[in-house]
Amino acid sequence: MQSLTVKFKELCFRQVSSAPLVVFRILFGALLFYSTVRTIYKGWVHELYVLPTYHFTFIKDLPLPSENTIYAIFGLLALSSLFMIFGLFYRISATVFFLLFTYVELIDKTYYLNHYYLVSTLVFWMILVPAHRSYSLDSLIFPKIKTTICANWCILIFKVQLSMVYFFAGLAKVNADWLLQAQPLATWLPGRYTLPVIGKWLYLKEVAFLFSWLGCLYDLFIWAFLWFKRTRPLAYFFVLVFHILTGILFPRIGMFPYIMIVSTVIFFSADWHQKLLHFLPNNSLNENDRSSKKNALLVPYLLTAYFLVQLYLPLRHLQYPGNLFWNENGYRFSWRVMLMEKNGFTNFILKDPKQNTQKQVNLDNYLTPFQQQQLRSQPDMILQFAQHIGQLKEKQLGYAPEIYVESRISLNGRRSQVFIDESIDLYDKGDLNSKNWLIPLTK
Amino acid sequence: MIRGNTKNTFTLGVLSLMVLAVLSLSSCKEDDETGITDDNQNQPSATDFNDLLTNQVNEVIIPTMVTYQSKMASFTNAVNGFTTQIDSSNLQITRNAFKEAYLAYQAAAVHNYYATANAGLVENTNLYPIDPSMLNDFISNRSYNFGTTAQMRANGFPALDYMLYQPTDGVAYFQADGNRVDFLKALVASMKSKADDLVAAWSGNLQTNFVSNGGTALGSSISVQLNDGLIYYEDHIRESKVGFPIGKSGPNDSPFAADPTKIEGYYQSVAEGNEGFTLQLLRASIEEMEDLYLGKGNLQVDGIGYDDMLLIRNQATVNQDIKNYFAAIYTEINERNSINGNEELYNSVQALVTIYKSDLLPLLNVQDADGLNDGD
Repeated sequence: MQSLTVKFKELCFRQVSSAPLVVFRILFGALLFYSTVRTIYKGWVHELYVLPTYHFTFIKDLPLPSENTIYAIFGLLALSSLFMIFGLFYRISATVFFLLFTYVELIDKTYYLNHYYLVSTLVFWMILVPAHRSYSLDSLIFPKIKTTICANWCILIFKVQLSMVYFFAGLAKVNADWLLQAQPLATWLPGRYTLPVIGKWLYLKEVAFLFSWLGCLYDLFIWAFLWFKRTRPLAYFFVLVFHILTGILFPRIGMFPYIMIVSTVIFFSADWHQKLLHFLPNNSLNENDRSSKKNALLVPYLLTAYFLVQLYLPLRHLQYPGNLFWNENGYRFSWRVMLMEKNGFTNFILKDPKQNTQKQVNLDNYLTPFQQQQLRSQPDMILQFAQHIGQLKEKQLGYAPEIYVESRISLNGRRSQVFIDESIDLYDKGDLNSKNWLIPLTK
Repeated sequence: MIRGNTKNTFTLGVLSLMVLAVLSLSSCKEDDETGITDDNQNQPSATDFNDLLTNQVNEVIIPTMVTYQSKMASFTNAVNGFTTQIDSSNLQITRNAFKEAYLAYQAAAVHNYYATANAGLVENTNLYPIDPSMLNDFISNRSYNFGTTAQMRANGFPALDYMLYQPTDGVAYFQADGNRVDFLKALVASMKSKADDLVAAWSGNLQTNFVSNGGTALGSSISVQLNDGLIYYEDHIRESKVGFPIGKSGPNDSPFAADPTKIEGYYQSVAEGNEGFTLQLLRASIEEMEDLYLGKGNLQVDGIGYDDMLLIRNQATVNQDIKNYFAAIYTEINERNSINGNEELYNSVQALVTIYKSDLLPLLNVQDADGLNDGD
């Protein structure tokens, strides 16, 4: 047991070239910068954070930014990612980016994306690793920090994290809908028939099955082949093919393919990265290459704790009863990507118990079309909105109204089923933990 | 040495994960209770989608617009005849032509998207009840512009309904005031010109663009036709034709005061003492909604429609249910002689909205909103 701990520590603290880290800093920083500028340029800051009058916050009573603040935040995100690329005040920049980016993601569940969550986790580790000690402005300004080596864990952490993303994304595809019905791909692909060349084949059920199975196998195993030197070039070729293809088929996934294509570069060897860096100017290297070990004691515990959490999150759904896709207990933060086509209608009915009148809530008055679309099929958002409408109305009325929800949802090519128990007043009796107001999926 | 061990441990770890994955994979094979229709289900191909869109625009939409255009032409002729010689026989001819044009309009308005929506057909041609005093002001002031919002409550068929049926003596009504004659001619001319524009627009670039704007994403022709068609159905068929007169707005609202004067073709129904024509107007709009669904052209030839898309996806029961819902609406219409009365007519109209939203749109993967950011 002791020897295992020793081995683990040896593995973590072995001194290795920091070249992969430096390349990662530059490439990933550039991607963050591009992505932030793109969001501002496309007007999404306005559409997503200024226009809506209500937000489905992840944390109750999360303070919401004003219009000026949200633009300042995106300005700072762009600036801090630019600083990360050049390695200028790197740790501060990375910290600023991590905190602001994560805050923005917590504002609305509507916009939750696994790859945003991935960005948060990767940038969190970027704060802690010395990616700025060479080929950086920091190493020019503060020559003392200059070094080309780092502890092995600083690179391992990214490789392990990315491996987990792939593996759990693959494991999530090991379900009957995906493998035995090729759903939801069978629902999605036929509508993409306008694509050049491949479009006309996409309606074939065989293609949906092929893509489903290959996608599942790819996610389950690709990371393993990225670890080994011999299989790495071919594996990376598949990374390119797979992500470019999914990017073409599903343009809505936006930055995701690029994030994976860029971040998996870290699997390549230090020599390979060093060769890339030769193209960059660098101040002469400090002869006394060294790595700080001041946090050596804490690191193994931090790593262990972190990965225990990362193991727990994707598997936490096992502790909840019912169909995961239907109930969505433990669906987010677990690398479940492209698994569902879930749609239908969800109406909110506001009842005044004293007047004995009722009225269907006009969602257009409260939510954007995108928020309405996401709300329709996500139980926690339905409850959150019912409570919000209830509170607004209670202030007006001076007494509690009743909020009922009428909803039918179709999941992955199934006929629609009743989603919410129409007889339960969600304002009074809606409990997020018990979810007794959710009608179980019958088949 | 240690390094080698680490590598072995790692390889072992990878292998055991692979085994774990394969095991869970094989265990799920026993679970075929997915509730999704059988494994042999097919999918609509590019040809199917193209056939659907081609049939919709060539056989359903354009012939509907052409029919409306020709009925408006006949109506214009009748009005010209009547205004040249104002007598009861010509009034009767005009009234008959009015009814035919109004019925043809019902079908055109169901396609309230693209050129039809851009032309503001519904807003300019059929908002009711009208405001009679506003109408009379327009007539006597001789100031009218049928394309403006200011005119909305004194425009189109409802304004004609008032002029042709409200006066107890229609011939005397027009003989007494040349402004009325002029207004009648101007209004009908403007409606006819809009009908001409619609045919021209739908038979122009739109005819090919409608087909080439493929797919089912937001903004595709299918998404526009179904979503905007449904919005028209909810606002102008369910609410305007049935909900408002019976005192209901939205399926979940408490009833409010019913107002039978809010029915479509109100003055005609008073003059003729029954709501037969009002019910016919409702039936005509439901029939076009059904034709759109079935892909049925003017000659009632059943081409490829959304029913066929459901059938290709092995959703025969959903298709049958939708057809039954249409049949149920006709039954309700046949069984009554007034829009007013119990809520069963309203409920049968609403049932179609429910199944469209819960099944037709999701099963065909037709989107009604798009993430403005990256989806996954």
